[in-house]
Amino acid sequence: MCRSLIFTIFLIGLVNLHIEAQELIYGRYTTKEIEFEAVDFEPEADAVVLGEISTNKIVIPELESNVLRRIKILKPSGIQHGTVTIPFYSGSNSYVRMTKVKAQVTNIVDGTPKTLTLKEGDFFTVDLGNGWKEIRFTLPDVQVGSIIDYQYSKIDKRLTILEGWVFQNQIPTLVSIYSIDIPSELNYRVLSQGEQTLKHKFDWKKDGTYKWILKDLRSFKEEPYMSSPSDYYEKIEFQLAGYGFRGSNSVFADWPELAKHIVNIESFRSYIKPNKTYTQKLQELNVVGDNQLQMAKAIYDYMLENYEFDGYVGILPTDHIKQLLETKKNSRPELNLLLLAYLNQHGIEADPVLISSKGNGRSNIIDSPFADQFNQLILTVMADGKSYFVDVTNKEVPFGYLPVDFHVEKGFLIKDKESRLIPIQVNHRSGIQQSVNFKLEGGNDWVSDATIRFLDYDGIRMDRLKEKNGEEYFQKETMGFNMDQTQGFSFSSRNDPRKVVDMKWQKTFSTNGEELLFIEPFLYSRFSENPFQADSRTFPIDFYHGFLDNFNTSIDIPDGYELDDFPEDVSVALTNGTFSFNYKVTAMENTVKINSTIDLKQHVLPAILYQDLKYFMEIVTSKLKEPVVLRKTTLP
Amino acid sequence: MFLALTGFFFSLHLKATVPYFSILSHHTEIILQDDYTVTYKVKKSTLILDKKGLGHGNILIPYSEIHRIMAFEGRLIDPSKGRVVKKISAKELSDYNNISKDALFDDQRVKFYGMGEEKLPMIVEVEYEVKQSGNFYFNSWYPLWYYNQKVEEATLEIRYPQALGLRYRKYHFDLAPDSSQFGDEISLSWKMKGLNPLAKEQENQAMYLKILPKKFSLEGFEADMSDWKNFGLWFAKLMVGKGEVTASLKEDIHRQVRGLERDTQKIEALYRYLQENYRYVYIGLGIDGWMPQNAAQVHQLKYGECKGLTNLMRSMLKEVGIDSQYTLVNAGVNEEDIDIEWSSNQFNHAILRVPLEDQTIWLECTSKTNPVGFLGEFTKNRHVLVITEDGGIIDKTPDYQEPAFNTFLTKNVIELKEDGNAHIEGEYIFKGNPSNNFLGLRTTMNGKDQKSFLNRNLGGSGLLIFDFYLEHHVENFVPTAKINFTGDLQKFAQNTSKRVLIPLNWKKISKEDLMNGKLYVHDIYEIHVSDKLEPENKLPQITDLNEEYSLKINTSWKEGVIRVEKHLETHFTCSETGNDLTALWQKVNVASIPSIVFKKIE
Repeated sequence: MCRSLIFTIFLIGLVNLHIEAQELIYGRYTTKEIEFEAVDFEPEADAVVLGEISTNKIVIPELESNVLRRIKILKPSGIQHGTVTIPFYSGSNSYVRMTKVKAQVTNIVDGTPKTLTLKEGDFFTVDLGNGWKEIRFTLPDVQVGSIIDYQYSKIDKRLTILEGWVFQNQIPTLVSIYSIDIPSELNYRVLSQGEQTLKHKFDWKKDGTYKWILKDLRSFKEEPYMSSPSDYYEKIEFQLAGYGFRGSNSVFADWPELAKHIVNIESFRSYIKPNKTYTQKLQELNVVGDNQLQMAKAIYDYMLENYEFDGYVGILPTDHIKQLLETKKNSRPELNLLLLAYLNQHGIEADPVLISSKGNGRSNIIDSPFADQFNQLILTVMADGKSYFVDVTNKEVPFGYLPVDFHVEKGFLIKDKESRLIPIQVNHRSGIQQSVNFKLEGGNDWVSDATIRFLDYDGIRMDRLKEKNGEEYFQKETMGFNMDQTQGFSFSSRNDPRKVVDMKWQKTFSTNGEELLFIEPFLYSRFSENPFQADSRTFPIDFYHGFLDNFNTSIDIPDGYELDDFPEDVSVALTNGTFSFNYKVTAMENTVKINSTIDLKQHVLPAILYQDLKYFMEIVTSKLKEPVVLRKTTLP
Repeated sequence: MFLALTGFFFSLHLKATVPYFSILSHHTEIILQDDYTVTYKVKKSTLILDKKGLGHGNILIPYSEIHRIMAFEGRLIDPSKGRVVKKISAKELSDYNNISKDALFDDQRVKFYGMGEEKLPMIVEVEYEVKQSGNFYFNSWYPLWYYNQKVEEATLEIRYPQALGLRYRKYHFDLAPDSSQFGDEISLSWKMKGLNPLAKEQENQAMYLKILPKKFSLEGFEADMSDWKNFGLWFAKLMVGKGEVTASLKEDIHRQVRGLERDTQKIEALYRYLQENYRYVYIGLGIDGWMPQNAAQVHQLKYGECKGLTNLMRSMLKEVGIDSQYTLVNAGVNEEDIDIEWSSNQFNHAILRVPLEDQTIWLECTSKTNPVGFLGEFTKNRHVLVITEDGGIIDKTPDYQEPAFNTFLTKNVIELKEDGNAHIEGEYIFKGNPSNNFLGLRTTMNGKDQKSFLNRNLGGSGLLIFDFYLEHHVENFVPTAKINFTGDLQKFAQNTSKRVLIPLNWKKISKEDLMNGKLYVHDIYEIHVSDKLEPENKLPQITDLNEEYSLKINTSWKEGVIRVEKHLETHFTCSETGNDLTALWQKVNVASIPSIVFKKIE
């Protein structure tokens, strides 16, 4: 019987790779390791983790972890791996202690191993602030062929959530082993992430030891259009699910029970159920609005104007409502809960929702009541029968929009007995609507009037870029204007009823009486160059939000000109249909109209589509620059 | 050091309209002793008026083995009641490592107290004393600590033994010090009152006072800082005995230069040996921050910091009969040049100067990628202090403005397909500064990343490299990167119903290419097109000559092959950066934008 570990992954079978774990002993190398020269699945690698093992044992009240890692240097550029840093979270109360750190490097000189060992004074502990520390050391005489072993023990007093193990490294890893020995009175649930880890077959024994053995893990590197590396690591973590005899006492039986626990925390409760003093104070806010949505927006705007976000995030408030009302500055949970309190006191339904934002390293939320999966508190607001997700920490983000790294799959709704995981569906119609008209004014002077509307998240993005960089930089760098040809630029922004940024300008240019005139019909595109230049892709491509761009250009053909040529119509889509591009030219008597749409329906695309996406983007960027050709019929 | 970390400036010519969030009064006492110790006593009172000024009340005291905090007292006072709200003891200060960037470890630490959500207004009073062993480190005095801060009173008193001597220089103020003498001790003091706040934009009107003792010492090494020659002598002392070459190192050295006759060949061979076998690791403890490691020690460890690696290279060259000089520089891409009129420690890095009969070679000994004799952005074009046995001398590193250091040549043979895609075979040669991008490719990236990097940086849009061969070499100390590649160009040409448009400027000039001010480009394209295409009209010939650049593009067409030859020379000053650089970049690329237009024929 699997007595104390509940696995949320489907068990395919068991494997026994125990021998490999035993073979990794500090300072003892196999002939295969000594002769190892290149990683077959990543031949360009300059160094490799030959093996690593993390052996863990819970001896209540502590978790003791012994870690051994073996690195081999394969190329001159890999010599940098002779310097090692081991970060760890110690906390303000020294939750974690690092002991028994040792390291050595072995070179084979004339067929004989020559080993150099670090002394105690060669290890440095660095305090990085905010509870983080780092052990640093560097090994001498590191060269191509060197084998580096280092080992340490970590004592961790935190048993509610165990740190677990990341199976991947910055360099490829041949084998990564994690084992944990859990006493029968504790019951843990596994939080897994990463394709290999989720599918992985693991080993367990009757004595309470559980083991994961992952092999041939690719090195981990950031790629463009990727939210955060930590969301993709192959890793496991453990959350305490029960305790007592055979772990029979659940920490939380279900989501409502977890919600009840959270709501009963005094600081949290002070917002959800404020006492009379604060109820009155909250109700005193004069809110004007014809309907719930208008009132909710008014309260939201009031909060933005009068309260300041201090940059800290979390899922639980540390401060009571009283403090926030006095200081008017606090972290995300306090601000969002105060918004909730204001809304509730004005008859508008609002509930807290916990999410794991992108970059939190928990992209795979499991349907078990563990609060540690989450890192942010937002709200869901019901106004006039329609629901909105809200976060009141950013002055640039209007009511009903979330930061783009909050666009995640699921969140935990805290709502009495209805508490559960809910989908985070942020309704928006982001996109760019471009309308351009070209006409000849005077002898050889052409004018193009451009109006571009940026909607929803695209509007928020443009507002932010202009605010951050100033107008001159915005025009030159963001919009790519040639300032000698640009006149009458205007920028306006509004939040209601949705986020809209409007820009207008004129582009002028003169001809020199050429017979052929080439006109690029569109003046702006979110993809002026193909952003995907890498050869291949390992991780999904994250655009953060979908969009629908609609470009319309009309060119008035003046007397003395005729339409000679124009780009061919195109209609292409990625194989899964989530990204499509259409381009159509309609020629009429004195006008030619060019219409194009770029439609991204799903903002995260799987890596398998990368080559198609790369070519798709090349078509899009190239096509949008193709010219319409006018021919002069009356030559001077 | 604590004063320098505040890093804020002041001007006497401010408009009073700058808002202020706090009012500061402070008194600093600096006592120099015969034994070269220095005591700093600081009393500071900050009245915080606005929450934007909360940070002005933060307490930040750097310390190390050389700077020890001897006393500390702090308190928060409610000004409305004159009552002490909170006493801050030394134990309540957070204590952090303040390790320099790129250091594995050093002993710099900081004591810190951050202001919370205190009710305002609030007075933060702090008194502390720091004792410094050795007077090598000496920081400027700033009457104003923060922007948007008014100063009620700022005083500085310096006491020093006459024999030690003192130099000072005032910036943007004329106030002379009150001076007095008691026996051998001289006292100088400045007192300022009612200073208006400074906005961040006004930092270039800074008021500050540079102070230095004439004689100084650090951990027993005494010297005179009154001129560069004497200052350099101190560094020369630190290097005594550090160049010892062990038998095993000698063996390694002579193995590298076996069969080589010319000095330049030996320099190149030993530099390559250094790059391939040693790595940069900085561990700075006490005076180790300034004293180079022994050459023998670096040889054994196979790592060292800039001083140790430079000293090792110097020792290796000496072993083969080539003299070189340890040289100090203020390194960094955006670092200001040193003030050569103010002999003092203004340096953060060491390089090596090798004077040969007909040229001077500069070696950056921490880089695993720099070609021999090429300094790159980190240390080029700035004044340096060269350490000789006779003392320090000021020299300047090269600016690499000559054409030989700013050239790239490309040859592109392109086979255009009907759908607008193309196949390309390219040979690109980058000389000097333009080669920088590609020098570290082999050592810092794996094969897959190298291809991706080249796809992004080698040419224009749509490049997909299949194979490439990258070769580095150095010709007369000019680094050169040569890249031969084959690949595809996705959507190289644009198709309309009747025409094909082929870009004249597929490989655009990047802003980085223009950064050095001088650039010499020669691009050749041979574009093979289908026999179903013919030129629409006369092929474009472009000549654009102006003060900033000259551009010539010649195109010709013969038997299905278009030949495009592009010559570009830029010649503007390096100061044209930011928006001006953007405008120039637009011009250089836009000027050559017209495409070659081909008609589709049946």
